[in-house]
Amino acid sequence: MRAALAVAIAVAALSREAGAEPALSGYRTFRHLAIDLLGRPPTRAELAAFARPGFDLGAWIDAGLAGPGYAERIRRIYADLLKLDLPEGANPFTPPSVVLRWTQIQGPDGRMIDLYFRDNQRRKLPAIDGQVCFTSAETGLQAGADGPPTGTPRPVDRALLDERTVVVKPWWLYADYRDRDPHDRAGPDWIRRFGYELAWPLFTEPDGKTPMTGVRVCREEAQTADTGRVYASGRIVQKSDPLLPGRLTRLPADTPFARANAGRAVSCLSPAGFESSLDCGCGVGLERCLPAAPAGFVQPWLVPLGVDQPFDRAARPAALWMRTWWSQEAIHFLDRTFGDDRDVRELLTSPATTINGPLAQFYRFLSGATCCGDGAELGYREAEPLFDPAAVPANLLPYQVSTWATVASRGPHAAGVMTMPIFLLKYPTRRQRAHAIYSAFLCRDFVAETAQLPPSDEPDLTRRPGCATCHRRLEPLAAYFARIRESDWTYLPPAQFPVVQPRCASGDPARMAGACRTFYDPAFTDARTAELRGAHGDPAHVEAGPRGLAAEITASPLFASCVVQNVAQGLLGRALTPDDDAWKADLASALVAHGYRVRPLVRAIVTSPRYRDRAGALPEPGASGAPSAPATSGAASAPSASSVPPGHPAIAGPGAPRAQMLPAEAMLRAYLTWFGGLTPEQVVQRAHGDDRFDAWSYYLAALGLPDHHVDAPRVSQSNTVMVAALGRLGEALCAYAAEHDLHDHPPLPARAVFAFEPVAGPTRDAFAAGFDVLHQTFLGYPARLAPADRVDRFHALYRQVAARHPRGRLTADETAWVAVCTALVQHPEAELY
Amino acid sequence: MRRRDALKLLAGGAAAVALRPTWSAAATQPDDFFLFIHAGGGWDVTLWADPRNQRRGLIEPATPGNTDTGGLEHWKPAGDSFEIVTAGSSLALGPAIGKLLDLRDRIAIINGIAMNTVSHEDGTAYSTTGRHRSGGAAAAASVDVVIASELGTAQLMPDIAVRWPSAFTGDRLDRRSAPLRVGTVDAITKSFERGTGPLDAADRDAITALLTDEARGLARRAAQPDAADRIASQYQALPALVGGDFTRAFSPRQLRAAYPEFDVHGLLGDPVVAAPFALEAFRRNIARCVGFGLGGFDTHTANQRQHARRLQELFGVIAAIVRRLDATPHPTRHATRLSERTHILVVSEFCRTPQLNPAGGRDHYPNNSALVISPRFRPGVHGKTDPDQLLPVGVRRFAGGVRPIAPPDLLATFVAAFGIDPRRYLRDGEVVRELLA
Repeated sequence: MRAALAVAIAVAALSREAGAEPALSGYRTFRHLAIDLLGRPPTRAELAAFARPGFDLGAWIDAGLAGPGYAERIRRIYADLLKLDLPEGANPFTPPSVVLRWTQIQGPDGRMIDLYFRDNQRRKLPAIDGQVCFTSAETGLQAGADGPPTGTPRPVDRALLDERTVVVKPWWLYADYRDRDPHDRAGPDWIRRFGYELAWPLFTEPDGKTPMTGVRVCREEAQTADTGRVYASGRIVQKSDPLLPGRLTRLPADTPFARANAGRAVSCLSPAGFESSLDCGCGVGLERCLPAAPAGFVQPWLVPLGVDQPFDRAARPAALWMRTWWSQEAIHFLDRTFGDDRDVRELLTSPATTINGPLAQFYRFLSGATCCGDGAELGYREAEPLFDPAAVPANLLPYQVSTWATVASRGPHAAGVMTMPIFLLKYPTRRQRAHAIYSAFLCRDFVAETAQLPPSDEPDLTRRPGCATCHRRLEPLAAYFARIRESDWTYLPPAQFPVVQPRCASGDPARMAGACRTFYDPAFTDARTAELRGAHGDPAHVEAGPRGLAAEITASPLFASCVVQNVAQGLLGRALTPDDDAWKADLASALVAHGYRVRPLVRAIVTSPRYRDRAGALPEPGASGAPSAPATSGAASAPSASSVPPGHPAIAGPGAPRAQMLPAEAMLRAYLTWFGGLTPEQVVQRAHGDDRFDAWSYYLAALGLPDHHVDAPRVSQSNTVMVAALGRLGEALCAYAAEHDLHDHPPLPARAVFAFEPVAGPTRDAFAAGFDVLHQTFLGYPARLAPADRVDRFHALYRQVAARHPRGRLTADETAWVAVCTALVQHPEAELY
Repeated sequence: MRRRDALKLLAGGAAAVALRPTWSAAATQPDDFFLFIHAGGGWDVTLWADPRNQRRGLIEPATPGNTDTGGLEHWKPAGDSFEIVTAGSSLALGPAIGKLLDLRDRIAIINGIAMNTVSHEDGTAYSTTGRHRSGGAAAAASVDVVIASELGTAQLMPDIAVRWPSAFTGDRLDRRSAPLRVGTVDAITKSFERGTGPLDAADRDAITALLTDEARGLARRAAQPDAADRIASQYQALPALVGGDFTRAFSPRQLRAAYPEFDVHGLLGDPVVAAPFALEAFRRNIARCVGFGLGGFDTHTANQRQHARRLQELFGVIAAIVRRLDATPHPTRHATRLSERTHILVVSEFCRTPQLNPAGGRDHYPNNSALVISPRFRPGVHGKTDPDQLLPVGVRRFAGGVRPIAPPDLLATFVAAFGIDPRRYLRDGEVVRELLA
């Protein structure tokens, strides 16, 4: 109640009496609000609405809070904390049961043809068992490890080709690949329909011209059965066996599982099925597999504004692009939480998620592929998934990149972001996982400022001198992740992996080997029993799993206060200080009272005096030390200094607000708006002329965006490169806009930047009218509220440039407007807030 | 504006530095150069600085079974592991030392640095600022910023950080020393390029002059003028950097052509181009500090097998840098090689566990080593760790008693070597005189 009253008072303070003109501080607060709630500076139309008497700021804020810009703003706070992306070279998803390797052979007619196969694929014929389905003697070629084959090709006989291979219409080439006779072949419209396109290596035959209508795969890989029979060859394989002629690898041996279960049914979705059956292939349209090469999937690349607005695209093999979608799953999950104003505790507790086609394919068919390694020795042969495949919407197909669907429950182990592949790979160890959650959601860190670390034999870090300072708290939290393998998302079920495992007991733990050593901790093993790795911190936490950690973290009194701290610091652009403690406590109580929904919290923050104080980061014209403004004769739109509305009171001292750079995302969105609503790719196409614009990638790297791939944090203070990059973007923008708005002279409503009628060689007053339009566009307030000499200074620039031109296509006046625009778009008041 | 003019404009800052009372008799003229390298992820010191080749205590040494030894120049089998590399000197190094072995008389290695953290972010901050993080952010300025603020403000680009974890924190810093933090060298050169659109260099100069005045006006009126002041300095520097000679000389293609020894296609990848960028920036006397980061040392899994190769590549890059510095005249000092006035500090956030984990990798460990190549530092190995657990051991008496060297000590020593009072910027740390030449 107290918080609601405070909000009402604050909104009233921002509102104005009927007929009163907004003060500069009001415009600046309005700009801050637009940047935080809409994700960009306000447009001229929004500024005009704001300036109109009776403008209902409270209603405007509420509308902003209901929009996608708000959700993105709050998501960015948590995305910057969790950094859920992976280094470019790390964690390629390439288990052999999933990866269709690419090679080429020479067809009967002498033309090279693409051929797909899986490493380790079981085949009846020993000469090709476990490798590509032709010997090198038959093709003259050896499949390259990561590229085209080597050797001198010889044509493969037609009968042999038909015996060993099949042509399949795969999921990446046919939208209706599940039909008996697929015909909806990939085309240029797929990027619109599904959000991705195929690059030529997957769209045409190797000649680069003939349309590809199917792909040739080895016959075993083309099989579609869900279950197969376990196959045991009965052969004995020794490491010393010589290679068979034409083979690249030694013959595969039967696994213990195959020897024990020969002839029995086995799931083709399990690694055991792949390793131990002749009947298990890649399924209908090869939907259980991903082509690892060539790089033919063109996917969004550089996506600071989201995958639906990429700044670049890049062709990648499907096996690599899965990482992008893991990351996007977390982004969409955060967006849904904040966009729908759900309980913020769901970030850790929710069983739900949002997935697209590639993720549906991953969870339905592929995620079990990393199970189970030597866990098979302990009876673990089929993954118990963190995401139940049955929960995946059946109608979500692998190529539907831009279709996102919400899954209400992933299964009993699911716990918010903590059980998503991107989190589990970004933080590969139990301790890293626990630390990341502890730090992001309780705002605490593990630092032993002065603890000494004397050498010690104590294996229990919760007791070891020095280490105990942090590990006393960390180990019990890490134990919640004991049932999820490190560097993986594989769940370790209690049936196969009891916390205490007598089977792995050892009187000499140093000699533990195989699965026991992999899964059980020699430091906590003796002659009677062995303990599951990670369980020692608190065995009771093991069965609770990440959901138990979610319960503990969200029940902490620090949780609500940490949410407030994270969100408030993000919106205020500064660290909270002890002076903010009472306010923070009030907000935390209100957050709890509102069911942990963040939207009321953000409303309380953006309508608070502290938020309005941000406007004081940039001074008023009349602030202390300002040069006295000369009188401006005859300037209809430029009032005298005395008529400037009273300024925002300057706040001095260390608590005074500090200006920082606009978030790069807001700046980029503003540029796209000013470019007339073009997409980033359209900007490149249209602004590329005259060498005035290169690839976005160069500039994005300079704008201070965080790089979650490598954990590079967001940069909020300017540097010379940033200023230079913004200058180059601004110049390109203004040149393009001048050509479009001034030179081509469309009707006024169609002009994004120069929305005025210019006159040749304008007088100061005529210039001021056009200047005011640009001033509002880029700086967010009318020029009449700026220092009184600003119009004159820019008019001088205009005249100086116009006097030296024309050059090229634009007239002298048009070029002069480009200069004015370029100066304003990189003005400190445009770049700082 | 020409570069010479820009330097004149900025000369006020240089004069201020020159007139400032110096903390040490060994005050440094601002014509030294500083290169900072971050081996991101946490390096395995047992493979180079603090070699271990015997199973003892927690130590599980590198063996051909857990390490790819092919291509390691100095791997010589000894028992299950490797032979310690000495090359006839008193140093004892690991097999990943690579080409750095040729510089054994010039390198200072500090072992047994007490980190008290195994968090990447915190270890990185501690190694580079001397303070643990506070509230999720750096609590002090990083060493490059301190040096740029004291010795670099007259440079066109006082401090360039290409994935080097610079932190600009504190109220004693000169705003002109704010680091240029970028992800790639391309971002620097491309941002300074200008096309052939309607505006020309004179127009741009007029625009930046106007913007500089506008920013200065804002700064004069602001209660907290630093942001506007900083941006004013940055506008002011632009004319000397935008277009022309600068961007041509610093384009990645030109750098690769001029410094072919860095055009490597190994594990470290593209970030290596930051090394020739630094050399060119020093040669042209436009930067005081350059820092860059090379990642990939966080080897928790089977990628530990390639850790030694990755280290060898890193040291190969450093050795190539030193050779170039040896062959390059100092831009302003007569008959002086650049290497005589260039100082290299190489750090990581911590080291890796002496024992292998079940995945064949090594996890985070709160010990560390650092490498310094500087005429101001005494070559050799300093500090030590215990033989069983690779933990730092107290080696000297500090004010509070005997304890191991910690990052604040190393950073205090580093800045003190150039006449900078460590107390101005570092809360903790004591100068370790034994490290200095």
